[in-house]
Amino acid sequence: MSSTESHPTPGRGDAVLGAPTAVTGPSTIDLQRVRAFADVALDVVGDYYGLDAAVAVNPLLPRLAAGFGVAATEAAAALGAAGAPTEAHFRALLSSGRIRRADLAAVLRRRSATDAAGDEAAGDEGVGDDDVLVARFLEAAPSIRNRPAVDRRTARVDDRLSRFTRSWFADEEAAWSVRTGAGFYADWRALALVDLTLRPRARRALRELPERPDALIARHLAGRRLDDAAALDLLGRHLARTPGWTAALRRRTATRRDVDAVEFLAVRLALTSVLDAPDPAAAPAPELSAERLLVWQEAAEAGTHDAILRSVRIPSAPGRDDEGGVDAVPATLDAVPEAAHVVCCIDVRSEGLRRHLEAVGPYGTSGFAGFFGVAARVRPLGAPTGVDACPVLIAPRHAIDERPRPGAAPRTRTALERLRATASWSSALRAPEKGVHSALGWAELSGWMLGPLSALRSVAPGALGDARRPDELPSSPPTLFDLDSAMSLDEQVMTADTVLTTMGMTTRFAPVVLLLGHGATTTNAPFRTALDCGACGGHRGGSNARIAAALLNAPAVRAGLAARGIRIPDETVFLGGEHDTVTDRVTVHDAHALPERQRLRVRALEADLAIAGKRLRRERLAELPGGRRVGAEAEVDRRAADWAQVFPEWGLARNAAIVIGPRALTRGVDLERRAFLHSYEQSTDPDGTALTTILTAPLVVAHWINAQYYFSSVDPEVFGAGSKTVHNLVGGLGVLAGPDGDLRIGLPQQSVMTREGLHHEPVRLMAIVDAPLERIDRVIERHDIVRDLVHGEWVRLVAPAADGRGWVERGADGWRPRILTPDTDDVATATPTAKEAA
Amino acid sequence: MTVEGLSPMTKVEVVVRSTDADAVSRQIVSAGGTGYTSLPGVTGLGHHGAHDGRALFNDQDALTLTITVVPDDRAPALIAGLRELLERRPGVMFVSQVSVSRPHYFQ
Repeated sequence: MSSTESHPTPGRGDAVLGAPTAVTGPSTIDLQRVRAFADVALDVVGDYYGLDAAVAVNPLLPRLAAGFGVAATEAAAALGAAGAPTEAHFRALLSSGRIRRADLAAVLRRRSATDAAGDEAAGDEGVGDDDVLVARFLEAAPSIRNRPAVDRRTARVDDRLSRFTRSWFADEEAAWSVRTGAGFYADWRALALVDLTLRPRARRALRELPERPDALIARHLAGRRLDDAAALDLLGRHLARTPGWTAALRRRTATRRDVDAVEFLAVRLALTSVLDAPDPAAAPAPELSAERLLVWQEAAEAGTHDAILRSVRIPSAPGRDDEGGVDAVPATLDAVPEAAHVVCCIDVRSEGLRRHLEAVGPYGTSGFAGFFGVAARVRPLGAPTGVDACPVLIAPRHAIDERPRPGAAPRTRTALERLRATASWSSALRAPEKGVHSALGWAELSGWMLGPLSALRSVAPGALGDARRPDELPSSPPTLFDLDSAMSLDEQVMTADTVLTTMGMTTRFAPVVLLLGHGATTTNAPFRTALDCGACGGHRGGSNARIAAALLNAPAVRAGLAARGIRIPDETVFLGGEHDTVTDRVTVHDAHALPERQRLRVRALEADLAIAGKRLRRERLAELPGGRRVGAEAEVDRRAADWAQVFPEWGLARNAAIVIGPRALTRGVDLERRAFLHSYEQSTDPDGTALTTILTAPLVVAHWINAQYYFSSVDPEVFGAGSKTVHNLVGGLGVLAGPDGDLRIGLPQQSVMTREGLHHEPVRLMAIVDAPLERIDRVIERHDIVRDLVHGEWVRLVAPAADGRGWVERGADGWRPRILTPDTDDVATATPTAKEAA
Repeated sequence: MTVEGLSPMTKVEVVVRSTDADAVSRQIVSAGGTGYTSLPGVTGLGHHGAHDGRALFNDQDALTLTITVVPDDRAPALIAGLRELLERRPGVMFVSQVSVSRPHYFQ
């Protein structure tokens, strides 16, 4: 066996592809290296998952290992984006008091001990008066680099590439296909050669370009005599001109695999050549250095994070008051038997429902990723295909179909016939719209009929029936999920065991345990799946909840669990349900088959969930633009049914933290729907298996969501999708702003801001983990993804100090005390108002 | 290693983060490799410390071992491409001479 050094790479250290290549043509080694360059160049941006199943993701994920500071400055700048608030914005926050001088000084002092950031202000000694430290820091004002104007010819390349990519990627939506099966580059080349909008000279030049995409890239690079780093940088600059299409391309190379970076770049470079355009200029350096951003960012989020830390109870801290925290958990909390227990998704929106429900009656609640441990491709009743109802971090392990319950066949048939009839009617109405020759004529013919209906839908949303998605059954016949065909008994037992142990629910089962997924009912909302459950892969979570409940009710599974030491009382029943996050109504499924005594319990729970939902509606509506607390019931229905509504709900805006620990840490605390809550009980997880699962999956998903909101807020044009009001759908791929241009990734403006300014506060995720420090360390050491998040300062990981007094924070260099700044206001007042943050 | 009656080939084994495994397989296919074996979730101890296998709910947080065998004349290009990848992404590559019983499978 030989090492890699036994095959030296030709040309290493010199021009990546030299002049001889341009003359004689590239060698196979050259071509293979070009392919590697193209693949690596894709790292300018993360994957974009589209809108069919929108998944929140960090748009700079490929640069995760570089750390937040570098990614948000240098990597963002390479895309022509602002990856962080500006210096002026931070200074405004300081002037307004939203950034506390004490926090800024504390950050400067601390960071000066470990890096150069604080040196700018703190001097060699790293200590001093707060005002002096801050003044020195402010004196070192960065200069703002002007973004170079984009060459008109480069803009033409962008435009032509975007148009072709849209046609090729969304081929199924096109009346005339541009695809021949020859590949992305070959299809483009064939079209371009007969494209009369290209000058004859350009078409002649195109004929002289290589027919192989990798050879074309090799020729482009050879002509410039670049070294490896410069060649890679050049390809990245080209891809960065259209970050949206590049992000979609990344995803496509891993899913459909019908196009790759080489083909995409070949089209781009060919256009550059035939249109005589220059290579894109290097992006200007970011306004803030990575070190300076880290200082500002930490100071800016200190108020919000401190307020949350003050709210959360520190375990094993009897009578603690020196840190300004709340008292330990009231003993009475555990003394009252639970009438029912509700397990919600970790989604921040669940926090409100849990808080209000616990205030209504003797209920307990837990948090678990909303797919409830069932990584399955689920096919709903009547659906032609299934959906991957699990986090995108994992591939589905099972395929589970929804089927009619025994005896429900006639009702099911009726429901399916109605669904098909509606679909046929809708399809027939829309068919002429897609015809090239019939579209205008059909508008003339149908306008008299559809016009009044459209007017009615606009002035009286909901008048034509409740909001419902086109693929949903009009009624709900009794169904079940066929577990036995999809999973072996061992798999069922193992899944059930994982779900219960991961959230620490292994004893003291309530008589009714409701597993509550969530989804959002909206009308005509392209971003509707972004409001659904991220843990279910951007789908509604009701089916997953029902599947998990069926699993935990199965006698054979319970017997298997008992053999593993988890004994679920015969009296306990698990049910699945769904929380509609637009209306805050909760649907409980499958209760009809329960014994009378259990049915009464469920009815009582449903009644109390309705009360909790009503309170939550009023609370949420107060924050929504145009929201009216009076008549909240009708207001949420109107929003769900209104096809022009751009603010159906706020989704996960303002998310700021994840709490991983028992509910006792947060019960009774109003976290303002800003915290993901994942249940974890360290005493039932001695080997750290559950903690590993939580830190490598739910924490990662929470970070992706947090990062998507962060970047969509700080640069809505590059990292966000812009305003909903000008969106044009490109199949299920995404949206364009207007008729052409780059695919828009990220969240629309209406998900993070109003006309008044930002609603979402761009802060990094703070992870509060109630676990022994050495156990957390072990996970960090053994899992790259967690290490990158924590060491790279993407996530601020905080845990109770070993002595139970205060908090400690984990950095790349270990644990340090997390000191809360005195006189912190509460969460709401520590957060910039929309106007100030704008 | 040469064994009488068998055909000499080059075996390339690459361990990378699972998120980079697709790039490795693309290199293999474009270099003319006729197939590869992919082992996700490999464990072990290396330059960056110990690595657990695949996490329960995260397929991406793992290492993947990809193994391919190519005729000797295709090996230099493949290795050159993989080296470029490994210059910029964490991972290791092992190259060795092997003998195979069905050479036409790899050509």
